Amino acid sequence: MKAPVPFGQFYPGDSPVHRLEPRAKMGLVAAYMVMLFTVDGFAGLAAATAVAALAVAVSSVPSRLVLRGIRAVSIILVFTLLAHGLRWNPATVTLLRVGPVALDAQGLVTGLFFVVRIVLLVVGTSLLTLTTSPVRLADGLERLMRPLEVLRFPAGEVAMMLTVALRFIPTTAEEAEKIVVAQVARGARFDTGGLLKRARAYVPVLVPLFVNLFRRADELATAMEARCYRGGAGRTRFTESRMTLADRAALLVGAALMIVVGVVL
Amino acid sequence: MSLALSSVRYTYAAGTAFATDALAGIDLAFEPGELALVLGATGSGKSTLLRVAAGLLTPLSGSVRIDGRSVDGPLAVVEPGVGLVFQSPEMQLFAETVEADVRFGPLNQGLTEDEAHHRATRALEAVGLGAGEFGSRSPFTLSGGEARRAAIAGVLAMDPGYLLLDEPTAGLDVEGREAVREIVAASRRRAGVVVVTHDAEEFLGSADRVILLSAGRVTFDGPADELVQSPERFAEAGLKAPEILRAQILARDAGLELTRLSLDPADAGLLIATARRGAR
Repeated sequence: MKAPVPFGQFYPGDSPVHRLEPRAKMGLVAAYMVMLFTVDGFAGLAAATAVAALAVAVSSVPSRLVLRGIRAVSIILVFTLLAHGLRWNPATVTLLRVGPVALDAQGLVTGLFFVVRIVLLVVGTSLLTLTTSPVRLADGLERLMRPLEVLRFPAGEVAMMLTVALRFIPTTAEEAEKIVVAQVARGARFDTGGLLKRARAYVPVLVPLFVNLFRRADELATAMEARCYRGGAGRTRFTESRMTLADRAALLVGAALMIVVGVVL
Repeated sequence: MSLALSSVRYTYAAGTAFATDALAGIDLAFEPGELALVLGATGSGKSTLLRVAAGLLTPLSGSVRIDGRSVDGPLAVVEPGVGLVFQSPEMQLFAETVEADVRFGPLNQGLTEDEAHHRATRALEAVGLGAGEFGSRSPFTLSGGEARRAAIAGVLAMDPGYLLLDEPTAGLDVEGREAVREIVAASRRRAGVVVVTHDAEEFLGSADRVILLSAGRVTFDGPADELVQSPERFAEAGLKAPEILRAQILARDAGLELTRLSLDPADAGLLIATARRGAR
């Protein structure tokens, strides 16, 4: 008996953010990034925060989920803040001094600027994966890459690889879990000892996992060829997502506004 | 002396929207030297039952006791342990040689290299893979049946007091199935054996006791012959009765007065012949 496991980042919903065409959404995220990297003051960051907050609110994705990605980069955030805030033996007045190391107010403010920029970056990209299903994301990427086919870039193949890889993430996760439990049943421990010992404890999981993956990849390739798969060029999709007028308008207006804000502020 | 589950309940993803009841109050005790067969349809909770019994899943309520002691965590490393052979156990082979893979469990139990080697050799012999011929081979060069047997040896080498097997013959050819049946039959001399399957054909003839599982509940627990005499219970549990029983049921439906049903083809033939003579 198996309970359905919620897969990946995607948070299903029917908000305008969810409904936005993936290409339009990716374009908007790209413009959002341009804005983040062109603003040079806290006023600009405030504007970007407003944009992100508005998008999150409209998406109806719980903010807890949106902010979850920040935990992954928390070390980078702390490092960024300290790298700007700490001074070695400064001549000027500082906030705090412990021996030769000092904490500098101006440095902290600069550090804070970069920290907020990273947080906003994570929030924006998280919102993209939270509101777009992996399949639609792959679909959108394929459509974006299609013009590159003129330059003999194998857009179709790359799209097929993406789709197959996405398809096998849950299968592989399930298999990994099975192997872990099987090795635990043989007395394996994954939670004791130092870093090296723990890493080594995963050998009995990783070896069979990869052997099975390669075997499955081989079988899948044969099965696809048996059904006349001859490469990705010229393949069509069962469901083609189309940019509506609203999608185009949202992309154009949104991207233009964000870039202007980025340049001005 | 027993591996006892009392009032065991288990729910996957408990407390979320995905909550699925797998075990709804299970009371069972498995004895050493006994071959118990747990039959159930897909989703009846068979595999969950084994995982709970092996201490790999902690029941939501109720308890698992081994020889009267309650143990927290995997029961593989306690004495006498519980060995669990998963479905398609060959998937978990990882070491460079078959012998090294079989040694993995005993080493995790804290045995010395020498003792583990000795255990591995004995376990490989027990599954019919001579350590001399197979011990130094890579597990990835074995055939499907051999790999399955090597994986079972990996659990036998831990010398479990109770051996649990999940669909041990699934996906094997006739020869492989026969070999696994022999290993299971031989194992009951050293351990209490519990086989879980949806295929009633395979072990019904050799089981001391049969347990029917349906939607996380035990709907039958008794000697195999008792179940054989009331074959409608198979369908109630969402299972197919063995072919040999279905033939006798069809004979009964056709008007023959069979005194009883039998799993043994020769015996069944005799019963039908006698009934036909009586009918004339």
